[in-house]
Amino acid sequence: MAKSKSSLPFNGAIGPNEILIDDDTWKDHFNHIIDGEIKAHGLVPRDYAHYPKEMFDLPSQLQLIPRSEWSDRIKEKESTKSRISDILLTAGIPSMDQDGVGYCWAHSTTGCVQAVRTIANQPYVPLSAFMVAAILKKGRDEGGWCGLSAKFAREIGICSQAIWPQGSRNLSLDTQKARDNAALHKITEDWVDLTRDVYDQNLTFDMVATCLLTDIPCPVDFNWWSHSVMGCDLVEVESSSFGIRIRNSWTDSYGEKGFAVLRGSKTIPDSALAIRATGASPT
Amino acid sequence: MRVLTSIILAALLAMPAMAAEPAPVVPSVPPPSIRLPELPPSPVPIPPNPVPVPVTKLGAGQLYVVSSDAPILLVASRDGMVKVINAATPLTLYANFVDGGDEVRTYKTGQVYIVRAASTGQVELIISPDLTGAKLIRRVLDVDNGTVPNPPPVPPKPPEPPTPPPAPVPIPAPGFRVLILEETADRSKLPAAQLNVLFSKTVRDYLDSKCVLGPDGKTHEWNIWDKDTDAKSMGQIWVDVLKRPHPTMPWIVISNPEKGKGFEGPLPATVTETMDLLKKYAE
Repeated sequence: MAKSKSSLPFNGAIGPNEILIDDDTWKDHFNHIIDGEIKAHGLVPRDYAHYPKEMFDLPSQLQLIPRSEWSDRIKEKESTKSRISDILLTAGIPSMDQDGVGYCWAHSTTGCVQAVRTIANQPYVPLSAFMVAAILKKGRDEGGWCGLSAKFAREIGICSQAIWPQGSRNLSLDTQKARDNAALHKITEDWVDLTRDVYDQNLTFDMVATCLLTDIPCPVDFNWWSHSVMGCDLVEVESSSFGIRIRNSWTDSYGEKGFAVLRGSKTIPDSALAIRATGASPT
Repeated sequence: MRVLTSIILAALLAMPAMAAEPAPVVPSVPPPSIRLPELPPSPVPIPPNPVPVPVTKLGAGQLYVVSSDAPILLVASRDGMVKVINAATPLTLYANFVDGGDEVRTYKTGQVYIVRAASTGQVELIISPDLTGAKLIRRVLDVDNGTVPNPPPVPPKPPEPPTPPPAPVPIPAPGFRVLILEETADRSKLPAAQLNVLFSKTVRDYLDSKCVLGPDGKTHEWNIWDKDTDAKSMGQIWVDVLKRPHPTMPWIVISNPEKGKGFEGPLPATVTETMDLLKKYAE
């Protein structure tokens, strides 16, 4: 597994070059063009007239970590370099690149699957988010939701980029070999509300916070951003003001090696799930 | 006194007269002629008998033959030391006789007892000439049939407590390996200090420094898995270690075959305790 030679940037809550997106700055990041380059998103806007916003009540299975413990736990994880971002950067896992195609909703899930494997110390296998989205959308450049890509990853898996290169929507790559390899990288355990449709599966902010404090990464969808990203760390931006450090799929050139922090209302996901475990495989 | 003297004198005077007359012939049965092998005695002290007794050596393949004109009874004082055969006559033997070497002997009449060594040790032959047990004739033989003598009876030893088999190393493959098992659904229930063991950079860096490299030549052989992980793709050693009992979660398995050490038990509660445990088995 490649090791990053640079020091970890997130000493303390927010890195010096880290992007902070909140209620005051979000419009600056809503723009799809950054540094002259069109950055795609891919999240399908939700029709609230037909699909009202609902939040989960406290789930029967996930034991929440009380808010009173968040601050101390965040500090502990910062001091021990045990956050998801720390583990990914130590292992040298780069950001994904959706390469201008509206497949963010597959990249958020795929990035989280890679993170789960890294946390488990499995060999680094770059996985193909394009395999997931291209098959689901029959090669079309079309948006979706993290719940849709997670369903695919749960049932079929995600194959290696060595078999299905990133950027390719060529469905001839959908072979038995690709499917066999994909089966090695299935989501085997997750927190997800399967009673709801894939576009309506969500977690409360406290559920997401609990998962991130226990190093369970969460693909999170934001309608304000029309974008789906990886939820990695719970961050205390200011005293008792908590946000989420996300990892984008716009390469390491975005923010601090692909990481940014969301705060305020901009950190509340519109759909989310949490990936706990994947299959174990060396390739 | 004068009368006694006269009687004695008369007896003495009559003796020549008695000797001069021919004795009356009284028919009598001649004493039985029992022929025993006669050999130069080789006195061998037989403890605990303090009196040296003539002993005849009877080796393997030799015959000690007792013949008698009249019926006699010959028995051995100990079972199993000699084999005694009461043979019928006429009998011709070609053998290595203890009192003559290899030769042919013919016994035309009478009774013949053939004695040969059946074990190693001393035995007494007891001969009754008149079949009444009176006037026994005894001969001691020092027999040796060429086998190891029966050892004296040994009092039974008390049963020794069973030696417990050495605990097998959990992962019988060369190299230091560690597996941590958990139930990912219960992560949020773990104390924060124990949760940090799973993700601490200190622990992960130490494991990278001590564990052998895996088949890819990059990833060190330590894993943090959900207890329900399917490890078929990771190799038989991991499949087998997952089959070992792990009654509580989280659980740690440490294996160092080169040092003959291994540990299986609950994951320690803190990073410090975990490091102490790892170092105990790694170094």
